[in-house]
Amino acid sequence: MLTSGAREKVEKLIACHPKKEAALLRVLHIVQQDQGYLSPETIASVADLMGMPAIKLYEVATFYTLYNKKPVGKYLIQVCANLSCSLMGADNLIRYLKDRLGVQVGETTPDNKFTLVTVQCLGSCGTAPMMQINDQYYEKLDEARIEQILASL
Amino acid sequence: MIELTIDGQRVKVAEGSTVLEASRKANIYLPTLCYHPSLTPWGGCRLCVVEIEGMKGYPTACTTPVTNGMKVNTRTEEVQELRRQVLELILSEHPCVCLICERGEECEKYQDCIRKSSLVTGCKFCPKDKRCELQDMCKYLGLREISFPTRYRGLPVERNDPFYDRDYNLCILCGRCVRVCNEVRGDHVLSTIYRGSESMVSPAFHRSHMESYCEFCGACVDICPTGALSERARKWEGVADDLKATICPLCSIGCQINLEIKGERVIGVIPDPLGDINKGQACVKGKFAPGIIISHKDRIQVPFIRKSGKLKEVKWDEAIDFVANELRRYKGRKFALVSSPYCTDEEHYIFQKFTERAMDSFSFSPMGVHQDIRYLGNKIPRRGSITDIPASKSLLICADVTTSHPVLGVWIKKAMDKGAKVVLIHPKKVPLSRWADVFIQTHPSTEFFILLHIMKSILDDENLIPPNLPLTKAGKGALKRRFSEENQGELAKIKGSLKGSLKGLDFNSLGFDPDALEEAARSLVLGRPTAILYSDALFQQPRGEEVLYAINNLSLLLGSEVVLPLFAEGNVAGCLFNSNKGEKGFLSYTQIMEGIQGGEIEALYSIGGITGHDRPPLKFLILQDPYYSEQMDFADAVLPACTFTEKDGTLTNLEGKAQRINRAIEPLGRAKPDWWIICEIAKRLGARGFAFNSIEEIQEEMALSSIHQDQGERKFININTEPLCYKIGNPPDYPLTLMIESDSYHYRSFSLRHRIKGYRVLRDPGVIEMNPQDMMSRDITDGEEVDVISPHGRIKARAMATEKIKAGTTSMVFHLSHNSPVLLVRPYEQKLCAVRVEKHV
Repeated sequence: MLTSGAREKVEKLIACHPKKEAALLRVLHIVQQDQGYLSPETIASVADLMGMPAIKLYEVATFYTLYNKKPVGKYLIQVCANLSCSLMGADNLIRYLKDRLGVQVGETTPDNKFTLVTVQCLGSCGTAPMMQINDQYYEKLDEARIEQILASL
Repeated sequence: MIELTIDGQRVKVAEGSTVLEASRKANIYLPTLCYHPSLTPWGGCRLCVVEIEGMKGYPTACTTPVTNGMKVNTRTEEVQELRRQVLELILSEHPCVCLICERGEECEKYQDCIRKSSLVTGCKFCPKDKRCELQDMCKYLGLREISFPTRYRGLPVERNDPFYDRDYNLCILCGRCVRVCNEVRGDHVLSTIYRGSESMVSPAFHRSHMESYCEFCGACVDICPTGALSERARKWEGVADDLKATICPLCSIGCQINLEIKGERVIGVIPDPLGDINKGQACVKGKFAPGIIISHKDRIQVPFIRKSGKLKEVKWDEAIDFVANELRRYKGRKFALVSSPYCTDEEHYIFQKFTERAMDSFSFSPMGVHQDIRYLGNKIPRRGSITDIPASKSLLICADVTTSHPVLGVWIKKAMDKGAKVVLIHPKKVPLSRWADVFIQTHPSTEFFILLHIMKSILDDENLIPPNLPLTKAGKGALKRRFSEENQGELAKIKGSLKGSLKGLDFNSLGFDPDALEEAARSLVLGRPTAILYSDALFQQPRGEEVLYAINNLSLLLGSEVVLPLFAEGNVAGCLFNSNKGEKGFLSYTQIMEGIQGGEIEALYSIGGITGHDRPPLKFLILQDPYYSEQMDFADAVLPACTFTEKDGTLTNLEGKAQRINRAIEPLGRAKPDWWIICEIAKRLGARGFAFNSIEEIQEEMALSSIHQDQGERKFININTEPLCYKIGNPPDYPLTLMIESDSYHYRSFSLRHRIKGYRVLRDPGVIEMNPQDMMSRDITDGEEVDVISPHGRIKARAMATEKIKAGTTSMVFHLSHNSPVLLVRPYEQKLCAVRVEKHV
């Protein structure tokens, strides 16, 4: 269930869109911030709230990697695996992170602290390889820098 | 008009057409996969790419609107090469070894090496082999080789839902199923989920179709260009030899369908894309049932007569002699005939003529047609046609439309897309209640009061219509004028009677939200024209006649030009209009059954089965039906009748439109049309006027007879509600109200839900739906066997908890098999009764 604050925000947002579909991306963001991830139950209840079929919300939620369909840890590490970053060694970094955290891509550490995922281009090719942890970009990475970042969290 | 040139050919088309439509009009073929005439263009498959002078790149013909002087080239080498590459890309994810195999032609001839490619990838093991649009594309583009590595997705085949299998490994993501489900049917079950190479079609959260409000209309199966979606029952039947047009009798809409014929068998149904009423759509009944029921193992194929206690197979001659000889003894009041509302108009004419002329009786009734309805005849409010629904700005629906008449949902959806408001009044949360603007959940039998209340709100319109709403003064004036000029007298009476009927009625005790009622009235009055669709269950209840009057009055108040009674069975309208002009009056089914119990009626001719599992106290019982039933065990003669695919005739749909059904296949075994059998017996009885050789001869005679359809006067009917001390509530011994949902999931005596698993999965006929509260207070657990008891009978059922109905209401589906809820009601035709539910001991 949504918290009342989030629910209010969602209702406000829907109200100021003449076409409720247009509010969908932002609504899902609010819901994700509130709930941490988008569970089927959450999506279904938001669909009722918006008066839209659940499948429409599910379609959008599964299309974008920035919506979490599974619970994530406190820190969501999204490593870019697109062309520029791959050329600059993203594969090695992903392997390093997997070993360091002891999880596969898409998994969360048992202490619920880190979730490791790979994503497509985050629009920072000039500073490749890069990753995003929660809302923060970390650029021009190497193993030492990653160690430093993880220690600082 | 716009003029353009396609491949050097000048083409004139209407403005707003697409290049693809223009090409088709000029008979220039363009390959397409994602395009379908009933859907909005999508431009997804990229096979219809063309060159247009002055335009960059290769636009898709299906999404490019025509402009004056446009020059289009559809067949240059570049375009064809591009298409071949596009198709290669599509096929790189579609098992296609056979499509491009260089020995494909030889294989065609001998089919000797079906295993040269693995089972999952060979066309011979694809249910769509030879009906696949990809095969056509490969042939057209001459594709022989795929230069990309092929990828088999390895997705599990989904076989858990009724009626069709889904193998998304064969899916090419053309999006046709998704669009037909959303745009045409409005069910919103399917969409494309994930992205890129992971994209696939799925219901929300990977749930099954059952859990996703799927209607199982089969539109996605019909529209799928590949073998991804396949109808389970017809999967391996291959290509049909022939298509035969006819009308589906499984509800009263009368959808035009094409039967797929192979040899002498109906293997499937393709809804007619040109059908006026259904426009290429069918439903779970019309799409999947005919193929199964027509050649079902339970068909009776030969006549039987009872000789020294045993049913014996005989030739027709002997059977007719036997029946005629026996019937000779029961002429007059001793004879009755009960027909099936699935028989044709002509047959009903013959049944009545037979009863009157050959048997000198007047006891003739179609089964399940309420006695009041036959008396009411043209008083049943009925106007306009189904195709007018989308022009309405509001809809008043008192029915579970998407279950009983699913194709109407397509038209309701069209109206809703244009902004029409839907007011739904029903005792149960039905699928349509998800989309209704106002949903008033009633206690069964209180619909009458709701209709009255809505009328009252409308008559007090000064208060109802707020000044800021876009209704002009002139509009208001016109509303008043219509009342004053045409119907002032009646109006005053109605106002008076309304006041009288609503006075003293504790509306709050009925548990309705007064705001919802106001909202409903407002939606209807402001959303004119209003279409009114009401189920026949609404008038098959104790105050049925008055409900009809209320609907009539409301429709006149609203000026509705579309008022449609949703009769359940295929030809109820035909029974009403073609058989109720008897000179001597008639008996209803219930009266006939009472006559049998009382001993006045000694011989019964049952066409399509009767209620009950024991032999009624009759001296002679004839059973005439295409299907075996338990009643055969105690019948004296069993005569095999044809199904609708094996005879000619007309069916009259709920609009009152007579539509022709056509003999598509030879009758199974020695089955004969009902009219033929009756005529033969009449001739043998020495009656005159039964020498018909064809349906056309009967039609000629009918045209000369007094039978005609009239729609009745448009007049307010004063509802005599003076003794309006209607008690809401049941007698203390029978505290629950049972609603019998008559949604026509049967054909004559054949119950789809009893004999076909898919339908049983959708709704188990042995289940009584109850509110959890009612179950708890009776200590009944979900799935437990219970006895349902009314003053008239007792049946067994399994209780199922559902929040869809309110406490105090229970629900079962109509059927005539064992433990039929019909045994609980009197008259038999009623769809409501007071019951109590007890644990079965």
